[in-house]
Amino acid sequence: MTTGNTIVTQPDQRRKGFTLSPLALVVIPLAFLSAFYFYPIFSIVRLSLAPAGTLDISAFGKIVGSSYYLKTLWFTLWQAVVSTGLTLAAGLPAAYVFGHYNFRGKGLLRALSTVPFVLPTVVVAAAFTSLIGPNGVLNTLLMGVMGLEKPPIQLLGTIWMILLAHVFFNFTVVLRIVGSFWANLDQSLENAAAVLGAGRLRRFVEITLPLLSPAILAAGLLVFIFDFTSFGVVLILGGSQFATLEVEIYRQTVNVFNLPVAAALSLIQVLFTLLLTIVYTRLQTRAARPLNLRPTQQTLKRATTTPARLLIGATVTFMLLLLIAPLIALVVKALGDGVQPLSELFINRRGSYFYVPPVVAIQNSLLIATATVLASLFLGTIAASVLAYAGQSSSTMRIRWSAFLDPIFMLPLGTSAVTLGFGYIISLDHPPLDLRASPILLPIAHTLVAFPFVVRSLLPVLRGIRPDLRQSAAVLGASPWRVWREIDLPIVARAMLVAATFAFAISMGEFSATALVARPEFPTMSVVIYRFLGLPGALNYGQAMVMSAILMLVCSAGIILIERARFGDVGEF
Amino acid sequence: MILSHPGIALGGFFVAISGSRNIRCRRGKQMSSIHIVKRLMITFGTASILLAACAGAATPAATAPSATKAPELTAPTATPKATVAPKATVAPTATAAPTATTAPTTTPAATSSAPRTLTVMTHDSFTASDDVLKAFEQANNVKLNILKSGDAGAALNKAILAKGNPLADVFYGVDNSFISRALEAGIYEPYAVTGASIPAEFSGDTANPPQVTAIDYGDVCINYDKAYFAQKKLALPKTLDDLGKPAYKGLLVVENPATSSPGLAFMLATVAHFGADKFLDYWKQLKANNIKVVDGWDAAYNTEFSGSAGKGSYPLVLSYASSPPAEVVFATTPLTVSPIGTLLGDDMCFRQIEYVGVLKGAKNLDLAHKFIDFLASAKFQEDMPLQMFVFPVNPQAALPDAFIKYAQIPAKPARMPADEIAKNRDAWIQSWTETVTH
Amino acid sequence: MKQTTSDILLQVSHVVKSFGATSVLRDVSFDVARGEIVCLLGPSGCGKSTLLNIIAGLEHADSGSVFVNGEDISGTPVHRRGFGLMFQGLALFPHRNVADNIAFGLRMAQQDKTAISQRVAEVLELVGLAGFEKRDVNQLSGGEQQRVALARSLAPRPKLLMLDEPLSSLDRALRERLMDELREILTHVGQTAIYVTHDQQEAFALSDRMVILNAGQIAQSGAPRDIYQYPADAFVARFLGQTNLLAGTVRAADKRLVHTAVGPLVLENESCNEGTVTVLVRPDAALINGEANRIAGTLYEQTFRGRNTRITFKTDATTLIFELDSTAPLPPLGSALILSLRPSAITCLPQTTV
Repeated sequence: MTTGNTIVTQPDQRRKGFTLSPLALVVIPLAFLSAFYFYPIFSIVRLSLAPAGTLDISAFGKIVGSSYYLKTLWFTLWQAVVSTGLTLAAGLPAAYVFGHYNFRGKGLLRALSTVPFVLPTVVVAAAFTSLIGPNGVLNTLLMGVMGLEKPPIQLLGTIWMILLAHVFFNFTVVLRIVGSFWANLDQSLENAAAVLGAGRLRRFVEITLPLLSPAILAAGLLVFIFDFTSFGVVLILGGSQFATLEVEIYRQTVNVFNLPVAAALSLIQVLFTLLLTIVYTRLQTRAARPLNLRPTQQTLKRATTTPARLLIGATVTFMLLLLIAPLIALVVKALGDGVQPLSELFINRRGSYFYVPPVVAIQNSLLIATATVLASLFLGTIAASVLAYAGQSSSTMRIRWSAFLDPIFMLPLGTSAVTLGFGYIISLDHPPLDLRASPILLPIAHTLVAFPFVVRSLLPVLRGIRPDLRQSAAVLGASPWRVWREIDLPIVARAMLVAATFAFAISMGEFSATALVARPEFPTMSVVIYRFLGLPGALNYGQAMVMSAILMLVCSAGIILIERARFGDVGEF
Repeated sequence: MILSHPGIALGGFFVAISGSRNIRCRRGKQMSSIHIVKRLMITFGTASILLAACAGAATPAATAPSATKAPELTAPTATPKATVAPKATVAPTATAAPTATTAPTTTPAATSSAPRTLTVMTHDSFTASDDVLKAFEQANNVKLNILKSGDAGAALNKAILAKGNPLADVFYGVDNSFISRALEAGIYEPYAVTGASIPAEFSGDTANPPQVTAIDYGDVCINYDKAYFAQKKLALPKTLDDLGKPAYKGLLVVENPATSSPGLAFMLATVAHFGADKFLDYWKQLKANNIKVVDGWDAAYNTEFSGSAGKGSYPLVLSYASSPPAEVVFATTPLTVSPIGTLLGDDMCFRQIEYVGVLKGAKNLDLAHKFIDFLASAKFQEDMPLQMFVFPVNPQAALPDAFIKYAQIPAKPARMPADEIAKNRDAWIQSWTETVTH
Repeated sequence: MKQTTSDILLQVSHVVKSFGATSVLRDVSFDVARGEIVCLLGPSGCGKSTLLNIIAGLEHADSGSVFVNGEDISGTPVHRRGFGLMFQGLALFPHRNVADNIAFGLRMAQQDKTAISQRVAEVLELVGLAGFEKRDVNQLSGGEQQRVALARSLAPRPKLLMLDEPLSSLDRALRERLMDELREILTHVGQTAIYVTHDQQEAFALSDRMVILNAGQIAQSGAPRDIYQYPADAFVARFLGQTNLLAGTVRAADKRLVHTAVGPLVLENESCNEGTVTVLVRPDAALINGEANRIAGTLYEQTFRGRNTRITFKTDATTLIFELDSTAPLPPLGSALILSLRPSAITCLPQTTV
């Protein structure tokens, strides 16, 4: 808070200004989280662990005492660590290339790299099967060329497939968050190290890596939480012999209906997320350095040397192989049966009550995605601003406060969707929040997942805006509105675009949010895809593939559109 | 350009300020952050209004699909089902009114009143013909609100959690392997169906009036890829034991009983056949014979099975007796023979029966009863096979041609009393999991 | 200054560089002798920094070479060249403290720990920051950061130190103080250095020799005093702040007499060629009571600058700027005035382009 005596000297300002600290705006995201996250979670945990009013924590004992659960926890942890490591290893070179060079097709490639993030796991499984399955393109080709009896690539149903799929899904997180940060790093620091005698590797290890670490940590945290709470990938691509905590929570909740164990597992999962985020916040605070970030116009250039061209070529090839080949396989699959599955999409052949014209599904998906983008940007910008301003404060109380809030904001990412969904059923059951069967729960659920992404994308940049920038603009005669427009917006605009892309992709991909609620008819593209996949027959399968291809298309178009967006005359940062 | 200002720094803990400057800075910052936040509020105020508009739009849009469906309804109905077409043409609301008055109803004002809403909770696989459901809606001046609540297990658990303040009036879709959980939780309001007699072998409980009414059944069976067996000149497995033989090594993909309802059904079939003390030995044998276990039907049928469009590599898959007709109905090129068949050996299939019931605390009891009668009526029962690929329980309902031609019904499916399932299900799943997947 | 070949440390030979369609350096050649401080001077965008980057190895020349001790180093990567470079933005590593910044180059040279900390203390002492080892570089003042950057580039004892406008972001007073200190430090250790700047005051203060670049070409090089007195062309003259340039003609009969718009001017020596010439009149040329080269005009403006008074003098043809001794009696502003121009302060530029 401002000290009283400074305000007394400026009575006019006191009358004009807020009497409440602007940081109090944090109540908006906190209210949202309380209503749609903490309250439902608290309700379901209370019901599960204290059905009769007294707390019974024997479920924890059961878990700790069971080698099966400990094994599951161990597997969950190590596969997440390895997956995150691999994703970073795969994503960093691409982030380097995207952060240093302009080349033809860069925007398209970046947009396409986000598509995996959006696709339903079942569809991705189909794509991988047709690519590297025993009868897939690659194996058929290799068997033909090398004259082999058995397919040489046997990844499906192995741990390798889970790891590969995690890299496939989360590659874009590293590419975007680290790539855009890298593009703004001051090149002269590396040059200085070079002149002082540091070779390429040492420059990277001693200079670039430490400076990049805030972005790497942020991307790593998000990827880790995704991998840690992995569900579909583990179940569908890994098979039944693998189980993560999230899978076990689902089984305990849905199949066994053992709510105490499910709640205990959920709490353990949340606790891990919390611990990890706290560690992250600590590291992040230590890693943050004031940097002279450069506009990308200065740092991005066309490749002129042969090694640079080769590097770009290698990156593009790698991304094509890892990310785009499965997508192409999917399209090929979708077109494999001719146009019939496509044309059938537009016909209610069976006269079904639940027939969904594709346009309606697209509309619904886009509507929910738009609502998600707006809501998560709104809430996320407030939350990130409050964290950034509180963190810059000279009062240690505020810094502590922000260090406490930050992990709280990340919690929804680490929470099992089915736990939350069951929480909704028992908590949102009376007016004014009787939303159990309302379609509005969909964008709300998506926003819960997208919100942490927005916070993570905006926070590093907002933290970088030094207060004296705003002050100097104000001294130069800029009205408060102009200050925001001229200082904050240009700086945070690019990060907001990144955040919007993630929010859009998260909503389009639905994640497990559809399992969350009791939905009235409000079918989205993913719902339609799952419906087709739920029935036997080539036509249903074909239509699922075609719908997936359409989802891919709509999603890429949406992302490209978002990335093209400019805030007035503000250039790209 | 503003952006190149060297002051743009990342990580803001580095403003070294001291003494009197401190106070100046803090006041300045306080001011500017107030203004920033004000700006944020203005901008995002607009955003939230937009959001609210979207949310508002969501509700009308929810009805949009049915609105857009309406015009298409008149066109194609004549083609697929000639029998229903005449009834569909009687549909306009004006003519619906006299129908309503002929019914012995307690609402004489039905002619002019707005339709009431009947909420039906069900699993994601529920579907029906448009004209059939519309006919019900018009005859009873009701708007159906159908809540799809995840897979059968998730839907049931949600219904149990919402007990006392139910999400819906009617709950459809619990099968015999889970019905005991529902009955124990006491989520149903007893009701005896009228207008149809359903054979006793299907009943889910013994109470009178019963809590639930059987609506459909399906046999969970193993399907085989005809082309594969013909090409390899391999004889079909005839018994459960055959599946453990070396000839069929690495050919079968099944679903996990812990996560999938056909998976559970098949495990129950093995328990019924071998006995609770022996079935795990059988599964050990299957495991040694390299069966593949996947999480759900989607993955098993679409990804792993070689006989489906997914072109996987397992020629035997745990699916349904209704899958062969579905392959014909949903073929991309017209077929006269199904590319897949069903293994019909004794106890190789397990009969799943799905039930409907009125939820305790339902707000529209009268409509809920009517809906259950409707589900049991021949009209709905005849619509089910080609919509959900299940068999009708009402003996009056005629099977469609595709089912008569392409579906084979096992002579002796495995069966097990619901209470026995209830008692042991979780323990069996647990020991199965320990034996097979770990 | 005369040098034998063995004295020459660096040779830049016919360097050409262009970025896309813009050609930045067109055939630049010059030498730097051991122990010499050479200033690269020129307006923004003349290619100074690019030239520096090419010498450092951060950029590659399209053609031409860089020799060190007679060896072509064009193929040697940056980190093996053993040069020092002090960046315009300083480029201090924000994640390292003062000592670690300075030690960086020493660590790269694989020196042992005690040697490193000794050397760090030594250079910190040299730049006047003794005891600053553990300080956070982000919390230093501008001048202190400058010194740390200098110390960092000096620490590994580079063969050649390059400084890219190191003082440009500082205020005037600090800049002038550091300029003197820098000169002292560099000469104290006998450092060979290339100093890039656009400020002629810095160049005069620091350099043994100046190389003036204009649009990617060397306009003139030589000792500061020589260049100041005898600029090669109008560009150099103007760039060094000498604006009294007059067009004139010289006849074969008397090469010491130039006919200009302000009248005939007599020169001390025969620096002019016959024909059209450009004459430079230095600001210190004017006397109130002289005999030679008397020109008439009005006193338009005067600024008192301590020892000197700067006046703007208008003739019918042009406006000239002079610096007079402040003791000289001046009439009120707007009065007619006759000035005499010392022949020794008038020269013909070797190249006539204006």
